[in-house]
Formats: sequence, structure tokens, C-alpha cells
Amino acid sequence: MGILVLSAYLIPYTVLTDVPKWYGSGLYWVLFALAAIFVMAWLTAEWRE
Amino acid sequence: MKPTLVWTGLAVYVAAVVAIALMSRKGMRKELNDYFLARRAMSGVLSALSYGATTYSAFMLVGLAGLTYQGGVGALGFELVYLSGMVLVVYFGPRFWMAGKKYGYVTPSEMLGDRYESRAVAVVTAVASCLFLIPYSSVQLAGVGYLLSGMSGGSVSFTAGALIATVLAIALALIAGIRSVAWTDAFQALIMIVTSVGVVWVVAQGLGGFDSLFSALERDYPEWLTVPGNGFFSFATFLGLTLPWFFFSISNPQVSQRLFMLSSLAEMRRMLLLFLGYGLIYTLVAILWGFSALVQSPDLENPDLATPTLLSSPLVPPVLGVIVMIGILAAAISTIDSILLTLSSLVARDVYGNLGRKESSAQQLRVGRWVIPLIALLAYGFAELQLDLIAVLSVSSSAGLLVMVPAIVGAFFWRRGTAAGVLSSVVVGGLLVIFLELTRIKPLGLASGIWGLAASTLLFVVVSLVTEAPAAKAERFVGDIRRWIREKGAF
Repeated sequence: MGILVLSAYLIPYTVLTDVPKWYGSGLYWVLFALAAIFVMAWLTAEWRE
Repeated sequence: MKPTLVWTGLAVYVAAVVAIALMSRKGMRKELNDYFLARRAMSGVLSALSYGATTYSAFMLVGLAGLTYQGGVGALGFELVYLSGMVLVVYFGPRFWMAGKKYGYVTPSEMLGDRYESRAVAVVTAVASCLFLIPYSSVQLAGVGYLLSGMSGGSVSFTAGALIATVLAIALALIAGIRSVAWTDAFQALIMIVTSVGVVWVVAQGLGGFDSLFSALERDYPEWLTVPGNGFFSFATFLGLTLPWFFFSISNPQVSQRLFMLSSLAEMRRMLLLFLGYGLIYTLVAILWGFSALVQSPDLENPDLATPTLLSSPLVPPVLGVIVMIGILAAAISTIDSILLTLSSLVARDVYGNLGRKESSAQQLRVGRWVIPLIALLAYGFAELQLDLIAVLSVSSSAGLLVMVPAIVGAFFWRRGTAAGVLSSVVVGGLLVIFLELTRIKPLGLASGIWGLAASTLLFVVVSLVTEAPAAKAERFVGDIRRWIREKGAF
């Protein structure tokens, strides 16, 4: 998860900084958020009543 | 927009939330545990909606849309990094929950006071929360005043708008405590998401659909689709904005207190995942709203006018405009009433309960109920006065509350932490944030929150190492809680 959060800072400010398209930083951050939600669902899968 | 339309919308909204608040009293007991924590039996779905309504204030459709208008897609990154900060609930949620269940804590400050064996820790962290969150509430009240007076063409004055919001927030918090807050929050969360999705859809269609919106952005505003792009979202600015908000779920008592209320860890998981879905959708809508305003009205001098301007444009029919106005109002009220209730519990339990002789829970509850209107009126007074200091404290609220993070992390993960470490980190760190915000100094170009967190972490560690830790308590607290949550499938 730490690497994922780090990527939300690094990728848009490096490789995507010259991609002025809808599929640039905007899409990256949305995919990042979906991945973060997936990881959180996985990390909490064993939580019980 | 016609004043009668604004007043009618307002009346329907107020009647609906008051009716829900009154209905939520069913089965309520007159005890502290019920009033502030719903007897620790809340469901995940209700919690998720209430959490969403509490976290997302009028800032989303006004401030975040304005940030998008001004700086572009960096606003999306900022808000989604905040959302990913909910991963802290994965680690701290079960610990808060278990500590509350086993030791009977009502507030996060009470937990810190007990863990570090210091009444001063409970009092100081409670006072610090009030110091930053009352100004934050007053700015929300002022926002409602501006929204209603702006949209009604002045027929609802600023004072009337702010007063309506104050009275309503008091009523929703007072009627049945967390029950009325949570149920009205849930209703308001639905209003917020439905109205915002609806209006963005209508506006996007008016601009020729989402394809046309993005074509226009790529053609006319390519720098708004990258960071640092037009220069607004420099890396230092992005870091300064995101860092305080990443820790929001544990640093802000109005949301961390919610972690005491869930009936089980399975319900906490439900709350977490449902809120994440809600937050992602609401964020996307606010960003699209800001981009739509940019394409529709590109020459505004003040980006905070992006939302009012778009709402009064021909793209939004008047009835829909009023519905969205109610959505923004709901976002503000649902945040203020939650803050009011939490602050009243902090004042009653941690300040009043720790200053004189040990008072009974019943007496603390009575004090808490009196404190709700007092805090609200204080926030209203600040809203009317519009002092610079209040604006500064409000802006720095997320950065200011960040200085509590070392103490909270230490409570669960570092046995060497001491009360002196907590007090020095919260007091000095908090004052440093206020000083940097007042003087607008940014050492090395970094925002106040980053310096506040760095200073408070350093002080917490260094002062703790040179003072004596409550060894037996720390051993019991850290070890027992870890063992208990493992039995429930958490780690």
C-alpha cells in the first residue's frame, strides 16, 4: 500500500507530466484509487463479527 | 433565482431532516454511552453514509471545484490521496474500536489521557481539537450564509442564512445525539450524491456530453490536465495539501470517534468499503463540476465563484439549481452537527470531567447537552465577525490537528511514549502551525502541516525518551489490544 501511495505522488509528477490528455494523470489517479480500495478490501477480508 | 423557490426548497429540506431526527429518538436511553456513541451498536451502512456526510463538507462542490477550476487535475489527485488515507482505518480502526469496547472510552482524548496516564493529555488534546474545529465550523456557517444570500439574490440575508444553519445544526445534534446526527447525515449523504451526480450530468449534456467536455479541455486547457500543469499544483503545494488530509481519519476527532461506535469489525469493514465507493464517486463529480465551470465560464477572477456562476448559468434549470443548493447546504450542516456533537463530548468528558472532582456520567451528559448550543453560538459569532484569525485557524485546522498523530500512533505502537512527550508535541507543534499560518511563512517552500508534523514527531520522540513512560499501562494497553484484535481477524 505504501508503494501505491508513493506512486500517486511520483508517477503524475514524472512520466505523466507531459501527457495533457484525459488518459494522463487523471486516469492514473482514478486507477490508483480503485487499486487502493481493492487493497483495503483484501487487507480487511478476515475481519469478523 | 426566485426567492420563493429558495425558501420553499429550504422549508422542505428543514422539515425532512427535523422529522428524521425526531424519528431517530425511538429506543433511545438517556445515558452518555447512547447519546454520544449509540451504545456502540451502529451498523456499517449507516456509519458509511454518516461518515461520508461528515467528512465531505461544502468544501467539495465549492472549494474543490474551485481548486479544479484554478489548478486542474491536481485537485483530483489531492482528494484521492486523501481517500487512500482511509488505509489508516485498516490499522487503527480495530485498535480504536477494541480500546473503546474494553476500556469504555467515549472520546479519542479520553483514550489518550488514559493510555499516557495523564489528565493533562486528555484536557490539552480536547482543547486543541476545539481550537481548530470551532473556527472550521464557523467558516462552514459563513459559507451557508454566502450560498443562500447569493442564490436568493439577497432576499435571504447572510445573517439569516448563517443563523438558519446554526439553529438547524444545534437541533440535529441536540434531538437525539449521535442517533439524530447519524440518521440525518445518512439522508443528507444521499441528497448530496444524487443532486451532484444529477447536475453534473445535466451540465455535461449541455456542454455536448463528456466527450465534448474533455475535447474542449484537451484543446483549450491542456495544462489543466497535468501536474504541475499551469503551475498551481507545484509538488510542494501538492504535498502540503495532501499530507494533513492523508491522516484525517485518525487526527480529526469527529471521524475517529466514529471508530468507537461500530457493532463489530465486520460492520467496520462494511463502513470502510461503502464509504470508499461513495467518496470516489463524490470526488469525481466535484472535479467534473469544476472542469465544467472552467469550460463554461473561463474568465472568473475568483475561483470560489465557479460553483455559484455555473449554478446561475443557463445550463442549470432553476429548480435543479435549488436542489443542488440544498445538496451543498446538506453537506455543510451534516459536517457542522457532527463536529458540534464530538466537541461537546470532548468538553463534557475530557475538560469538565477532568477539571474538578470526578463527575458522574449523567452529569457529564447534562453538561454536554448545554455545551452544544454554546459551541454553535460561538462558531456563529465568529462567522458574523469574520476575523482574520478565525479564517487562519480554519484553514490550518487539518494541519493543526495533524500534530496529534504522533501521540495517536505512539499510543498503539510505541511503549516508550510519555505524557510529557504528548503535551510538548501537541502544544509546540500546534503553536508552530498557527505561527506559520499567521505569518504566511513557508520555510523551504513547505506548508505548515509538514513542519507541524515534523516538529511534533521529533518532540514526541525526544521528550518521551528523556522522561519516564507509564511502563505497566503501556505494556497492558499495546499488548492486550494487539492480542484481542488478532482474535477478530485484524492485525
